[in-house]
Amino acid sequence: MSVRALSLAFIALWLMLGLYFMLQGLELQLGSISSPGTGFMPFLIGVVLIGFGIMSAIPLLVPAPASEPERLPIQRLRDPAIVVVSMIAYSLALERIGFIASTGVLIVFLTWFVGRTTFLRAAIAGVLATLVCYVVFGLLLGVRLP
Amino acid sequence: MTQVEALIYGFGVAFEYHNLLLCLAGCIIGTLVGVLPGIGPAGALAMLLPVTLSLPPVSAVIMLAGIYYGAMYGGSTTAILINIPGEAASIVTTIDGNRMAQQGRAGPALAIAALGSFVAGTIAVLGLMFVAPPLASVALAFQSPEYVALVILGLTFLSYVSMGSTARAMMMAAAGLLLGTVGNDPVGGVDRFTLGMTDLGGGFGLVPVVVGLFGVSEILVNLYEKDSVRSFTTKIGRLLPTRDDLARSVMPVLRGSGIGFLIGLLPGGNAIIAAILSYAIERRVSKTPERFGNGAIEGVAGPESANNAASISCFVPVLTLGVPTNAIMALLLAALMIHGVLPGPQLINRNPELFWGTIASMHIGNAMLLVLNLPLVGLWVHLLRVPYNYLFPLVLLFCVLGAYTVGNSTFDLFVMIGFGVLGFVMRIAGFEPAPLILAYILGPLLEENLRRALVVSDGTFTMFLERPIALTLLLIAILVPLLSVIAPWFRRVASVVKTSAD
Amino acid sequence: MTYQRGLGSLTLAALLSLVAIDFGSHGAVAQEFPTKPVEMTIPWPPGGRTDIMVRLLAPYLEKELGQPVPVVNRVGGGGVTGMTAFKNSRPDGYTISSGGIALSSMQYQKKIGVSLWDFTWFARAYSTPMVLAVPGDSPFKTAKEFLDYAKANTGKLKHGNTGVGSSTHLASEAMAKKLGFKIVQVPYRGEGPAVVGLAGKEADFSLGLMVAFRPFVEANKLRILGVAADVRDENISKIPTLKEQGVNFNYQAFEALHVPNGVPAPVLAKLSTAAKNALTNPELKKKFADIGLTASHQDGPTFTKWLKEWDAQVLAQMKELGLYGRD
Repeated sequence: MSVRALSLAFIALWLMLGLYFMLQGLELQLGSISSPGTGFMPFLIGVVLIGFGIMSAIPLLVPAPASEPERLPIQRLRDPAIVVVSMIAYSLALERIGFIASTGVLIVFLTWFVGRTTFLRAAIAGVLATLVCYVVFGLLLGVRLP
Repeated sequence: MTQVEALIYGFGVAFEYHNLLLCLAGCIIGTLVGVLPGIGPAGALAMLLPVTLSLPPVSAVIMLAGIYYGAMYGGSTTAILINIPGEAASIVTTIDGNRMAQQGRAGPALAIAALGSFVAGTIAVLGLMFVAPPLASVALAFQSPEYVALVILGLTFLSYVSMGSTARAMMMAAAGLLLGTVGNDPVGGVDRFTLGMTDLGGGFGLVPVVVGLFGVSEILVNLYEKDSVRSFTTKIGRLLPTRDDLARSVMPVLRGSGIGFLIGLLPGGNAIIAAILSYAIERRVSKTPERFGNGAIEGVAGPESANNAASISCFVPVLTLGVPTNAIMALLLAALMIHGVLPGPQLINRNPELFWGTIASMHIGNAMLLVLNLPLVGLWVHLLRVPYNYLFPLVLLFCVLGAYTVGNSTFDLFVMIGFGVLGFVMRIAGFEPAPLILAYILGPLLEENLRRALVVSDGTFTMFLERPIALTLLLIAILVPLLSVIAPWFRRVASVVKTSAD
Repeated sequence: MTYQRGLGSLTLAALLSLVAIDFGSHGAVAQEFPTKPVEMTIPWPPGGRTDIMVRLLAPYLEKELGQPVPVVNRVGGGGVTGMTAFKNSRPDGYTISSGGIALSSMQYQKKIGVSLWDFTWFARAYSTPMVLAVPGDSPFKTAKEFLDYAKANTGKLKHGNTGVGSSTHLASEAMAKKLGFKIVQVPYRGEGPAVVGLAGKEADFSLGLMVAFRPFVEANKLRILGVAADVRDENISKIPTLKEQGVNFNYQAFEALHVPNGVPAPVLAKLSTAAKNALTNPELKKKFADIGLTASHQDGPTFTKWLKEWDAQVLAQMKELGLYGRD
């Protein structure tokens, strides 16, 4: 998709959220002016958000300029996507298999797979980084790491 | 005794061997911790409070203070180098600071940040010495309506913090406000929009959001935009600021120090607001405002000075009134209380060695930090040359540490990831994260104070008219943007009149 | 090859011994309790009142138990995360906690999945009376003047509380109800802002702990009209009780120590004794007094009985004030 399409989709998302908050705001009681309720702010903000959202969308809805809109490459999403997925996996694993194990695996994996280094170098980087962090933060600074 | 005599006495205390060492230790730890994305001063202090408990009170405060503003210094380092603010107040620094780094001017940016912070710190400490106690009671005049006005001022100035279209910036600000309502209603105590997750009871939090929105998303964007992971490089230009840089920074530093000092004095005064205001003012006052957002040194000098000055002046309400201005000061107060030192106006008289010793050590700490940070500039900049494919997992690791250790919570990690994805989409689509995060932070403040002000005033808005400070702030908030909209129109009219008169 | 096999069996041996040790500690007989550090988890961030109290108490508990008592802050969700985690922790006596009294109102404000009765209370730590504070230049010089005005102008006085549903909120409403007038609540987030608000005259009066008001009182920005207790508190003996002045109201702020339900009786007994000795230690009492708390130990059963009544009172009050939100 083009940047324009993405921006419009993004704005649309926030418009919907704004509407949701407005409706929820009404449900949560707007209260009176001398005692504003829980829904007061969300409602107000929802209105403002929708307002600015529409303002932001207008320039985009005007017919496209002469130059062809650039398509956003999808293949390049691969790397960020992998990072996100591995982070999610890491978060789930962290308290189950502990800091050293999870972090070690994460760093090695990321450096090797996404960073495209050799496995050996990735392994060294991973182990080193994990140990240093564990020592400095876990032991020296007394941070609680699982 | 006079202020000067007291200060000399204070230096005597501060120069005691162990206090000097602790000050240095504090500064170093603070810088290290500040450099970590997300673990700002609060995280550091929380980790180290147990350690300081075993120290005598003066030494404990000296070390804690050192950690606090050391972290402020450190926070700007990552903000400039990798676009991840080390703590909330450095968010504004990322704008021009990181741009400068991308232009190969990381060295000058870091140096000016350090120098500016030093000057600001010195000015603030001088202010503390002479002006503090009386000002502290004046600060009590700052109640809910004034806060409302101040936050509105900050929010309206958010448009100056963005580069692109104002509509988009304001939309992101509104989005930030919206996200800020998730969690505990600041006044009613009712949960909002938590979708049943008790972990969201406190909202999304600050650290995971900042770290995700800036840190994680930065990495995701970089991975997306580069052809091959290995090709990310940064130009390393000269390390020292040019004479031009220095000349341009003088006024921003002075102005920033003033703003920061004043705002820090307020109970609950936020260094962030100081940074926003400073940036906005610099941009407004500058003869070449288009340079802002593209690596204007003033955009670094001003906000950095502001947040450093604020971090020092916020000791005032703590020491003289016993009122913590933020969570970090609360920790400091706790440390004092555990040692049996009761804060309050009598503190200066009852424990002069504490008050003046701390002030003296602030001077020393400032100097130490400057000496520590300037040479480190070279080191940091060269660290950037580590190939990105090794660097990014490490940065991610730091982000994770920052987000997780705030509350030992896996949930925070998910928040971080979520905001990372959000930030990624935002940047690709051409929206800026800065207005969003700043509004996210300011929103709850606004709501709390507005609702409270309305309760106190029984629903009338006349309080704004009756209270000079609030009125002034509101007027500024309204007039400044108004003027910038009207001014070009006026100029056009004037030139038309002029040409028709010829 | 042999090296790898050797390594493999070494690892296996290590793993097996770890398992053995783990099983072994389960089997540790209660009379040896404690054999490893007893962790004190609190659901609040460092620097808060409970945090300070617990850090002061910990060394004395250490002496009694003979094992280290590290303090851990498990922050999140406004206290709920920590309390839930604590509720689910192993009831072996190796994790103790404090700061749970806040649950009294929190459990009724909304569904949080934790209640006061998920825990076994084994010692009360402190019970400190609240004081009635007004701005320094307030027209009220005595508690009686205050009461007379309040009754004559019901619904006008503004009370600055430390949070909706907080102890100060409930205390002030209890006072108003008992003495026969109505008040308006001005909510703040926490003690610091509430005190500043009062000093800045946004509120007309506040109930709270002396320690929070003290710096302002010394600066003459606040005036204390009286202490809400039956007898004068030893730490602030110069302040008359409200009762002396004809205002019949008292209210305490208190906190206690607890463990998750299901801790074996002998272990609980050990913890109770240790707490009792620690909390009645004159040194500790002095330290508590320094931070404005009146250490006052009460053993588990007595406190629990009292807590049940307190719980019922709070529930009734929450419903009356419209704060009940658990359904």
